[in-house]
Amino acid sequence: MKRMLWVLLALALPFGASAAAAQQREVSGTVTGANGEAVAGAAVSIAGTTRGVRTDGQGRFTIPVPAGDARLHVTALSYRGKDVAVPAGQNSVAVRLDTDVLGLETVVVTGQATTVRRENLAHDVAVVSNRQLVGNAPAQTLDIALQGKVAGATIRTNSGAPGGGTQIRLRGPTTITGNATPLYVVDGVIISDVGIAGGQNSVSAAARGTNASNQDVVVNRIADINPNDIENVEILKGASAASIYGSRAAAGVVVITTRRGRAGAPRFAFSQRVGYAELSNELGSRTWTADEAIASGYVTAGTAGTYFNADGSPKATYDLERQVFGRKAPQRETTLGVSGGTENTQYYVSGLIQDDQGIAPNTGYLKQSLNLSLNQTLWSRARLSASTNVLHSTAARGVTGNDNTSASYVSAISFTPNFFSYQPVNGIYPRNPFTDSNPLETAVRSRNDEDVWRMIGSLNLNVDLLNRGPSALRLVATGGADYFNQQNRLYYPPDIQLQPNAATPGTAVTGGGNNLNLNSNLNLVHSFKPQSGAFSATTSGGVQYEDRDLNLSQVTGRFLLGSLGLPYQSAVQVVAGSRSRTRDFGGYVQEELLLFGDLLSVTGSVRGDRSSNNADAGKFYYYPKAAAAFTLPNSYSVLDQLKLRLAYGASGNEPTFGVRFTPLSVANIEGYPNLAINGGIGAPDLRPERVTEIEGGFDATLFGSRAQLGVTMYRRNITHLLLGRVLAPSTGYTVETFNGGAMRSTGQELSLQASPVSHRLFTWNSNTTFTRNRTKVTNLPVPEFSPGNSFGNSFGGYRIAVGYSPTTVFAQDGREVNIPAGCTGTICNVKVVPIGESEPSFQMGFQNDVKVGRFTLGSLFDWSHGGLVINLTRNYYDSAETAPDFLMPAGVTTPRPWTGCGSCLSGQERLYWFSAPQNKAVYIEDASFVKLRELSLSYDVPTSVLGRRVSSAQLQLSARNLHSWDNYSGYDPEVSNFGNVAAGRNQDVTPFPPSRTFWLGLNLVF
Amino acid sequence: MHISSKTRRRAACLSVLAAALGAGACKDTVVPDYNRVPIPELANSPNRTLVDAAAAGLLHNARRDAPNRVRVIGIVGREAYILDANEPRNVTELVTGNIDPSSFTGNHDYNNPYGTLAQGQLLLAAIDKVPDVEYTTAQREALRGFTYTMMGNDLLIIAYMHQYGPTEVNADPLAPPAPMKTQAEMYARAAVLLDSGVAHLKAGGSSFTFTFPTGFTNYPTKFNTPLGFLKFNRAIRARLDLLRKDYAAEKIHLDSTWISTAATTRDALNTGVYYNFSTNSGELPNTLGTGSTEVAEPTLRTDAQLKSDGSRDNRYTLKIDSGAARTQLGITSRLRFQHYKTRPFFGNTNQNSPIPWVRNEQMILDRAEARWFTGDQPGAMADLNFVRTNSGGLDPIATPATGAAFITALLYERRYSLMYEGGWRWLDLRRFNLLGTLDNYPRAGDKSITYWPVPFTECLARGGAGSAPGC
Repeated sequence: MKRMLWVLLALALPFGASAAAAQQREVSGTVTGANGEAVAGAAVSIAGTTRGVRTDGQGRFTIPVPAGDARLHVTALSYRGKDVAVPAGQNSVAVRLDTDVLGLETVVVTGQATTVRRENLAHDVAVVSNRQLVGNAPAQTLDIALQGKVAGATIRTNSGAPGGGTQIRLRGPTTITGNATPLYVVDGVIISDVGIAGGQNSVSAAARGTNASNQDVVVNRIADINPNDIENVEILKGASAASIYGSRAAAGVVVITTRRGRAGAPRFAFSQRVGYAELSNELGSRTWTADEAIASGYVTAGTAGTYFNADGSPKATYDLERQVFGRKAPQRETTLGVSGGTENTQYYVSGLIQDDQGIAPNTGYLKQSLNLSLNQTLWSRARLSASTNVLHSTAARGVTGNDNTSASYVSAISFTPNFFSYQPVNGIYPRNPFTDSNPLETAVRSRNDEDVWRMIGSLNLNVDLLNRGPSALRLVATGGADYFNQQNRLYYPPDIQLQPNAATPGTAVTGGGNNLNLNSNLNLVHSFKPQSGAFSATTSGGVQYEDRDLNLSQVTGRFLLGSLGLPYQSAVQVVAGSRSRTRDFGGYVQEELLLFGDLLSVTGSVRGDRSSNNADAGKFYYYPKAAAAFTLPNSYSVLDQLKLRLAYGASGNEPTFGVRFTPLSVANIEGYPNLAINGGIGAPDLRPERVTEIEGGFDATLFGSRAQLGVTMYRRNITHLLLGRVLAPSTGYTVETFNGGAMRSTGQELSLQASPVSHRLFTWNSNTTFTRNRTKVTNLPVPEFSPGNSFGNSFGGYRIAVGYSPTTVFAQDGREVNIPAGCTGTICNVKVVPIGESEPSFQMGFQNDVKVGRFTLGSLFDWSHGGLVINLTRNYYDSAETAPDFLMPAGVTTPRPWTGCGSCLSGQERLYWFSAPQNKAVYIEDASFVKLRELSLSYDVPTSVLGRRVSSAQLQLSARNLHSWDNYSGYDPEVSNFGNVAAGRNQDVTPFPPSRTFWLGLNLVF
Repeated sequence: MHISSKTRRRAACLSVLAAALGAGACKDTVVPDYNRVPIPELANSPNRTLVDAAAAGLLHNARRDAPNRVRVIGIVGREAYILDANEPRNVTELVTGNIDPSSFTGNHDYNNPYGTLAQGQLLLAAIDKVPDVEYTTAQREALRGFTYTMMGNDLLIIAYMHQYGPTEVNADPLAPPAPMKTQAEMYARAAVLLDSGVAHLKAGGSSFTFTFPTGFTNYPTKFNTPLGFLKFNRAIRARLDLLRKDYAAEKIHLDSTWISTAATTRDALNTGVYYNFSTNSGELPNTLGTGSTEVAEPTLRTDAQLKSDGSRDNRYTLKIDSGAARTQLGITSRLRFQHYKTRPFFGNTNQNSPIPWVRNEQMILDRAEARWFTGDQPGAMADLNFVRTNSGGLDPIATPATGAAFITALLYERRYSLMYEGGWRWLDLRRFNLLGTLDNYPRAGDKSITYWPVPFTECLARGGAGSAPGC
């Protein structure tokens, strides 16, 4: 944020020696804020010119002005700008600035190197400040911290496992088979968000036949960023905003600015939090009598005595979920940051140590981070910013999610009746006679750790090349590198009950990968602001180069001999690996005009880029953009300001690495290499997908700047989708990847920021968002197909078909009355119908801070209405007959009618309706929820109590995921077995259960 | 607005600098496929290494489908069942005969064999293109002969499983697929391909340029030289003749193979060519007989004839063990196959065990059939009794009075000699129009199938139901 302001000011106010006019006088003064605090680094200029100075650490300034009356224009970060009159004869002035509560004067990125004030922005950009991100409750990862705070964003965690794994979708789905995640830029460096599968599949066999799969509870690497280091996050949701990023930006761009130093004496910020996490939702399990257990086959008449008394009642019942997930897991987080500097040099150093235990044994998330940033002014004409962020995290996540071996904890729990206990007896874990694992033993004695070291470094140089009167030319160059090394270590000892293959007991996997993202960009910005002030024009152009290189490797060892848990001490080792690399090059030109005294802003730009992932690596694809915003010149009663905006833009989604090739796969027979047709063909003209969007809306400032209302409507057309055309197997090949088809999305977004009450003793700030999106496939040049990632039409799956959204759930619904001609199979007359939309029909977020005296109560409610979840976990419980509502109620002897409500029936009835020939989709449930995501109560310790050194202290009680109001029978309607996918979310297969966390924290500034 | 010349010059310098930097950044942005080899490289600029590896790839292609093929044909031929609660379609589709062309039961043995034909065509063109210094003429001829043989072998597999299929593959896979032909046309084309290989193999010199796996070299008779491989070619040709019931031709072709009744040991009977499997990195495992869900047909036990000492046929004892009963969906069995799991034909056990491709024992039985139906009854009985006594340990039988009685005796020997190794039970019953004997077995309503359906994806790519014969 600070850097962006510097950029703006460098644009508007070059700080070189200004030409001395004939008659001058010196005016000096101080700039203070609303509470009397000194404002360092404020820009003081002669109104209407670009000449000015900055205030020092104590807020003092001295500026030469022409003789006679003068007007000074004062602006500063987080404050509202002000013009001050300095009559002739008055040589000192005190300026008092108001806090910019609504962020109206925030500057926002509009290009690689340019920014514009939010007041003049022609398209909709969501900005989330550090206070909004982590002010209420700590979050393990950035994406979790953003939930509920951004209009237009659907942010969903994939499971409750510690350490991340979250999908951000901006304005609906933008692709079917291509890359579905937004682009992340940190301080100008494009960073990696890949997710590398850890190899859990070697033990869970969720995807038979491969060692790693997207069902490995994958964490996408944006989770590594420390949210405390972030100054603000800007989200470019639409193609019109993101167009400047070209073929990487179809799914949106998240621009992150990290905290920077500020001039002044060193200022320390310290926070220490301790807390605990606990299981927040339980499924429960059926209570048995001896006769029922015999009927279900869990015991025989002879073995019933082990678990049951003579009268048929169980000897003991156990809460199996709590035996595995019942820990009150301690959490702690310590952060320390120091910032300071002089007028020319500012620095910021921060560190984080975080140790969050998980609710299951051997699970948790540890993170350590060190962030250094330095700003240095060079020769008063140039500014250098450098930053380095070193991160280390370890996520231990256990074995959850889909499996075919009873390895997954909840899967084993679902097949164990509750009269059996997992707890160890004399240190020995009992063998589970009812299924193939004792999940408590698996949790305690096995290991599934993901260890990541990461370094993100960036260097930014901002040089004033020319500064002559109304015209200024600047060079902005940025270079950066993002390197991470991920190591997954899995170990399943040979003597635990869970053995993937009795013939080869013991499995260990060492795998992971390393990734290097390098990017650099070079920009020239020319600004022209004539003295008449009639308009200001900023022309910019630049080139950008990016190289990202990912190397994966995995060694799986089975039939372990040693006890160190490494795959190298095994009899059977399988080695796999791959490399993918992408090199992109692009350039752009952009023109931004501010006319009529900043009332009209017009922007136009064209970006062209090429990528090694396209079939023709040398061909450029162009993405234009045009946007205009007009602010009504007058105010009307409660309406202080109304800005109308309209934008059009295009961006693209380049193909993923590898799909453009037509390869031969490499294998070996007895060690001798061979090549065989792989089956995939890349179309010879493979190119990026294209999103074009028209977005319009208005921003209104109301009630004396107490409220800011933004309304946006958009319509996007997505063409040239990357699709797979199934080829006739008799050609020897299987699928061709090509571009075709189209989708259309329309949506509405609303954001209301208000300070309804703003008084010294009572303040209420609120931030409300509304999001609604509809997407539809409008053209498909191939037959309808299933995009993979599903368990079949009996449970519910996805299908890409014209006229439906790509996230529509299709499922069985009884049988056709007439068997279709030529149909001879047993399944061909099952009717498959669209059941409904899996994405929510709308979402709202409510963030409110109420400050009474020294106490502040902050809350975040997230309301998602509509959507569907395919709940396979419930089918596990029903098939095992352990569902708490399994038995038909007393008095019901035949299954009651199916009315579309699975929770209205018992498990027995659900199974009846699920099986042939009824074939109903009983495991699809409504995903609506209202969640209280964050709640905090803070107390500002009075300064009289604090020592002289401490400038502020705050005690805070906070909670995350406190409660969810929903009708969902499973753990959490926010779930995805397949992780981050374009189509295929919302499938619940024995995931890691959700947890709620409580903290007590102390924040100190000194 | 006046811009001084100094500013103008400075601006000009800077724009040149920017352009230079921009041009310098105009790097080459081509990234190759790091993980695989692009087909255009084989097609346009092949070298010896690529061609050798692509030739060996035809062997890999051939073995890819083998375990699954033996299994599914074994089920429809009532040699085996897969009783897996997680996958009931092994019974509800394969045993009932309601094969779904879109599920795993109906969508197989089409893409990989046609892949061999496509890759074979690429290879034949590449062999011509490799620079002269890399191969001698004889080596090229050997490769050609090998390629034609593999193409013929794979087209034969498609032919004996399906009623319809194209007989060739277009050079451009994106062009509309070649027209569907009948089974007879597929047999004819496979015969032409196999025969094309003969002259090339004879001119192929003394060795191939790539290494054959132990499936070709395990026994004293080696098949990894052009002349040795020619014998394998003739054995496949003879198999084609048998399936078409062209017995005269079959006898001629069998004479060019390694068929022999000189030795009576198990190894002599097993001498032949095998598919290799392994659990090593980058390899394919053999999944036959290793899962707990795979069981053998119960009547294999009760139908096994007894030796003179009262114990069962040696082939039964060698290949089947009795264990815990497994039941699912009304089918139950206690029998498990052992000739992959614990007592393989040779080499390693379990998922590293080989599957037979062509064996001496099989060729002897084939010849028995050919001799009988061309009028040589004594010769037929000599072969049949050779297998019966040496492989089964049973007493020889007298010449059957009728053709039907011979067929019964022959089918018994084939059933036990060739148990669960190549889908022979189904092929034999079909060849003699006896598939009807499997009706309502093991449960009422169950049937076998005469042909495997054309895969759903094939029909989809051609335009849907009715777009081509078989769709």
